[in-house]
Amino acid sequence: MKYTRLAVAGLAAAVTVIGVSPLVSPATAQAPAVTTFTPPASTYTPPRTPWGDPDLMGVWDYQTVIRMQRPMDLAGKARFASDAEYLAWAKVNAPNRDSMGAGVGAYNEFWNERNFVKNLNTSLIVDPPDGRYPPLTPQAEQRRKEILSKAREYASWEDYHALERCLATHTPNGPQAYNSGTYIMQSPGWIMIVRERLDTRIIPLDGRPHIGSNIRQWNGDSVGRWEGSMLVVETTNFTDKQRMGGASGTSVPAGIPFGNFKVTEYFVPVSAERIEYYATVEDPTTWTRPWTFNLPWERDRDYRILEYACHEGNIALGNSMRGERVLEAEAAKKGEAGK
Amino acid sequence: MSITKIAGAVAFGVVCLAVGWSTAQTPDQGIRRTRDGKPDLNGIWQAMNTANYNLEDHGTEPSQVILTGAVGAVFPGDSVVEGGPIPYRPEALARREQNRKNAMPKTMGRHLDIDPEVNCFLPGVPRATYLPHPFQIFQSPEVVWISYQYSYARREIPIGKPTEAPIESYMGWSNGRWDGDTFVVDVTAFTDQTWLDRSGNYHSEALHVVERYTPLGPNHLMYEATIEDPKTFTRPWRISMPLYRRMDRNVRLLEYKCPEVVEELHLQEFRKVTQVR
Amino acid sequence: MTRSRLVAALVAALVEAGGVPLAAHHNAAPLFDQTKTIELEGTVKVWRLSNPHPLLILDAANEKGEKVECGVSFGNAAGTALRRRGWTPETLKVGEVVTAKGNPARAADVCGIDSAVLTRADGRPVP
Repeated sequence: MKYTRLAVAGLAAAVTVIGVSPLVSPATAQAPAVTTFTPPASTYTPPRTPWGDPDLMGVWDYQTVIRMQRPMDLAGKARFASDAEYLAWAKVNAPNRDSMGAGVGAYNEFWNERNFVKNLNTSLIVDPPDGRYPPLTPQAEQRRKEILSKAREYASWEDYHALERCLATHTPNGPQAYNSGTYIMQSPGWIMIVRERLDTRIIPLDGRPHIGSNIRQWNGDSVGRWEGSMLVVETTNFTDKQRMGGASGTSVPAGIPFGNFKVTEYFVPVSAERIEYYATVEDPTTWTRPWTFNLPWERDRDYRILEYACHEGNIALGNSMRGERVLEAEAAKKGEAGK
Repeated sequence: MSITKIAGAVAFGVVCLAVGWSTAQTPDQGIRRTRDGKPDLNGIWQAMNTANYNLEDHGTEPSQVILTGAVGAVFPGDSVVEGGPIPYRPEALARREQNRKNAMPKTMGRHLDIDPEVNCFLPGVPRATYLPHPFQIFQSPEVVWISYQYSYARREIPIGKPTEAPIESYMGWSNGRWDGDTFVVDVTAFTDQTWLDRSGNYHSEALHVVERYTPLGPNHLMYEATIEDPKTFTRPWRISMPLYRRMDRNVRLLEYKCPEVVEELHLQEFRKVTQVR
Repeated sequence: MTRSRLVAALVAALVEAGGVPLAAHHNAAPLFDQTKTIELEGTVKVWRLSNPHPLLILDAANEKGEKVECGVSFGNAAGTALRRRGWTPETLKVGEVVTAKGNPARAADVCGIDSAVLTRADGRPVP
């Protein structure tokens, strides 16, 4: 990897690559299965806001050691048998990073200041039941090859991920290594989800239609409703410029545009301190069937959301592009000299 | 009144309740209140003036970027500053004049001496209030959040015991309280990186702003902001303006993630130029 | 771009690149030489504890005795991480003399120190 590219990868604010997922295989010729995901119900009833909605207000966090896809060596095992088994696995497999200091060498960070939410599932993906992404369609596989081969040139800012451009993290709210504190705020007819890093999502609950199809947004357009104590949010109108993978932190295959996604999120409060969050991603032009991941959210009463002035200090992006041009020029000179 | 008209009136009332109007008042009379008796500031609001061009009196002027013609020109407007011009210290006024000359860039690139709005940098307070964009207020008894359509500008304003800022920020550190029917916000810990308008009015990191949001009716707020900065001004001074509830059907904030629209301006020189052989 | 502006831009670039939280420990390696350590005394010119990019610039002198601006960064630490370690906006004052020890910038003609540890003039550690 070129050095300046690493500098910009750094700007992807504490994104932990929690397991680079291997390429998903293209679909073989078979009828796509149509499945709908129903989240497990909960008997917990949260307190109510003054106007009668379930009250989820406050700061939540969802750091996790669990990867999106079930590791191959855990195939067939959907859950850890006990807390002890989960902890033992986490100690060995938690993401590595340096602490502050002069490059002492990576160490396992499970036991330091980060706040991993306990999760006994062996993968975040809970549907399909094998805990792995469904196959890509042949057209999606072809498209991602084209996107990735072009993006490697870093010809333009468009070849960088939305995070490196300080535009968006991503919706659905996938895992994130740092600055992942997320504030849920509510008012009559609305709910707002503020991720500390870049994404503020404001969701009307009055049953209004989505915005017009010519308006495409990095976090899409969301409309929500309460079903009992469960919040259901449907999001469409994503822009194709938003892509999975790269620095997204969800360790998904890179080069998949969001433009045709329909995302359905389910927020299921299961206790005063925990929400089971599920997100179903549907795009028949990309995957042969929808898939769903489950990411538990936990309250963090000590976390105060701060400003995240990403773009204001984003010199790294220009630095990276400048570096790419320098390297290209040097390579061209060598090519000339060799003639 | 006939039965059908009564039924129609009841149906209309049901619809009004369904769109979230409290039963505590009739539309267009009095102010809305939340269940704990405070004025209800929830909703989507926007200023409707030209303060963002220039807080002081300003007539029509062409843009510094002549190619934009009348689209980029400065619209005229009365001062929103109470009691005369902004009371700059003499040496600080010279800097304002320099800012004014430099407001629009003359070349491509990422310039730090121009109006930060050109760069899509966070606007600070009070400028975020009178940008030409709506913002949405979320209110609970414990906290008020304001989310601005512009970029990712947002503020958390806890109500109650004030806390100290852990960091410096563009949007400042806000503490809120109620003073009768007025919501008062005390804002400190600013960086010095924001301007107060497009005409070079600015401040130092010593800026201290006190905002007051007072309902005038169900669809109007009066917004006042007192600006204090002993490094820049000889005394505190105040601006005021009405804020209007956005009444458009299904109105919602849309994405104005303007870091994207300035990538060409900031990064064009680093873009790969494909050689044609 | 004049030479001094280029230097300032590169200083800022180093400061910014070092001041964002980094996922992999080797992200800083291209811009900073992690096999070397230098120590530099300077006067605080800019100190801003903002998130995610804290900004610290020292006025210092190079080997030739020429005045340079030196960007100081803190490895993986974002503003919030520094805050957790006890840094505040008042930790450093403009005009204060400090010594910064850390990995030097690789680029010639650019003064930068990453993964810095700071001490005050009287030897007390910062923060």
